Amino acid sequence: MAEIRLEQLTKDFGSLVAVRDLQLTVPDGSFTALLGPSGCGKTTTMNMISGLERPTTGEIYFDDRAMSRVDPGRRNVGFVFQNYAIFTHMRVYDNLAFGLRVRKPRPDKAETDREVQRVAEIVGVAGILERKAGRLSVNDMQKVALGRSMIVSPAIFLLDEPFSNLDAAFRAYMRAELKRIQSEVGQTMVYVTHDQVEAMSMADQIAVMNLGVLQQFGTPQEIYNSPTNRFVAGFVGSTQMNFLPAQEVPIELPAQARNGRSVTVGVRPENLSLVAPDSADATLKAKVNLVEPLGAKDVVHVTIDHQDLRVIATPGLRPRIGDQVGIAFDRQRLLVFDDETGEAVR
Amino acid sequence: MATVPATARVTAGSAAVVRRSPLRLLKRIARWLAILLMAGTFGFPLYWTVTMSFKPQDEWNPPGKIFWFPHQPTVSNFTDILGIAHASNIFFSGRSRSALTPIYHSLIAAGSGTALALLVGVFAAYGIARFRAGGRLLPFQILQLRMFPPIAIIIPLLFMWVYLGLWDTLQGLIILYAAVTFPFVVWLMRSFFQEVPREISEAAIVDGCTHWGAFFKAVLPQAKGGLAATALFVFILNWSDFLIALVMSQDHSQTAPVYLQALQSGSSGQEYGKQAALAMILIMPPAIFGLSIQRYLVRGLTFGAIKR
Repeated sequence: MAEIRLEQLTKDFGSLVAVRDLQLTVPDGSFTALLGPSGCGKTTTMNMISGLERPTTGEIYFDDRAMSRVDPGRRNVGFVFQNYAIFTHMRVYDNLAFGLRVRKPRPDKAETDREVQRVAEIVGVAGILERKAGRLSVNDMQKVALGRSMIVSPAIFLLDEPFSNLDAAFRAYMRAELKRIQSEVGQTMVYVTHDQVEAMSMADQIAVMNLGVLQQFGTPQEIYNSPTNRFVAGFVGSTQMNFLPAQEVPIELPAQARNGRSVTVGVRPENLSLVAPDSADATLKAKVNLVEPLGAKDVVHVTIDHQDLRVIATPGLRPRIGDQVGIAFDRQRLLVFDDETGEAVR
Repeated sequence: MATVPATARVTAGSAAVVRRSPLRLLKRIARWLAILLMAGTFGFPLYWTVTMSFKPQDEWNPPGKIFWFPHQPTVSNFTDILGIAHASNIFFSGRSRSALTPIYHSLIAAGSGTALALLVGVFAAYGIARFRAGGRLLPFQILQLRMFPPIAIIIPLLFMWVYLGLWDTLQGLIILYAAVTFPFVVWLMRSFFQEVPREISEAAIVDGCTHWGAFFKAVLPQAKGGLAATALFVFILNWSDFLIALVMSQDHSQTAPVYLQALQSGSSGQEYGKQAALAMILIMPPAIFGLSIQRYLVRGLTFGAIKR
């Protein structure tokens, strides 16, 4: 178990700055997601925590111990890669035992057996220990990869998009499994993903990154309900947030929001609702463009003066394309962003 | 209604077969002719060598006559070559020894040369593939060693080797064989190492291996098919070398191909039967080597470690 503290961490590759001044504390035993689009620096951050990359400047602490000069093998971290990286020339057993066998002192055979068995049970490969790892299905390969990094009981568990190559059903299963494993062993887990649903559903905290810079660090609720800037607001949420120039929204914004600045109003699709065009609640009138039925809800795309909005509607009142509708706002849930800085105005 | 069309279908079907068949037959004949032609082109020299090795001397190359197969088959070519029946041939042209010593020289020179080339080349290839060691141009600089024909440098090399005392020594041959095949090892192994995902070595390193440990325990086993293929390729190159050995060896390190070429006598000219017998023997080491690593050759080139 360990707390991870990143102090002013910067990594550049020549002129490209992959991570800039990253300041982040991952609490002991927590499950933290690093979320961001491709190339945002999340994998580089993981590589620095694991020791595969050395930071250009800044320091990494595990429980107040500076780590950036410590070899990867001595940091007591487990790493699960997106591409499994299992050793296909070995049996499943030898893959799991690998971490033990390269340790010093090397545990004896009985202990190795016991540990392999224990981990195999946890990740669910106990029945296929004798199989050649190269012959496994993709799903089993990822289980083996997970088990291999678990066997040395690392204090810190790093997972770099571990499930993105799995099919959807198995991914959901593995997510639940991972949550269970984490609650059982209680390690500090850092999980890299570009999938905000994955981050929201699994993590205790989410660190949203973009272009090498930390955008926001907080609980999933904080990230979702009070994003600190327009990037976070737009990136998080399975149906993307709507952004409207303030002058197009006939709603009185709080005084400090305006303050002479040009601002944008952000509102999540589920905080809009469809009403009759002549209703008193109708703040705006719009034309229906497209309806995406998702079962439990519909995503209705509407147009107001060339501005597209997405509205979540209950399937009961499904409008037809071309209908005139009124849009009602949940006024408690409006967010305001400064147009110049992109920062949220509160 | 449902039963009637059965016969109709059969008739229609066979008619269609009859209509299409002449062209099809022609195509098949043409295909088989092409196959036979190819097989003959490649197979006949082998057939000729095999049969020649069992022909007695008067069937080798008699004027105005061709023996398509041995009329009086004999193994004397083999026994002569291997020094088993030395005294039987008084015209043995003053060669004081059998083919055993040259074969031994060949095995040592080609085998050690291959091992040395692999030892140096495999590490170089990994450095280039994984760490871009030496920069972008190094692979080409290495390949450039092979960009002119060996004959162009063999005379200067001869002087150097004489000066260094390496001429007509097995060590000298080993160094040369390693040097000329080293570029092949680097280029082949580089591409095999590039096939091994970077994460394989990173996973091993995070688990506690050093870079060396990761290389030997994780990366090299993943590339062993490529290693086997490279070893075989390089061994065949070294084993069949004639030019370097011809210039660089005489008595103390004469290799089998050079010995083979020298199999001629004043009385009978080229000793075709013995040359064929020696050729048969010389086929065997690469063949045995190839068969013994066949498992890796077939399997090793595909990796299931990574989903692309």
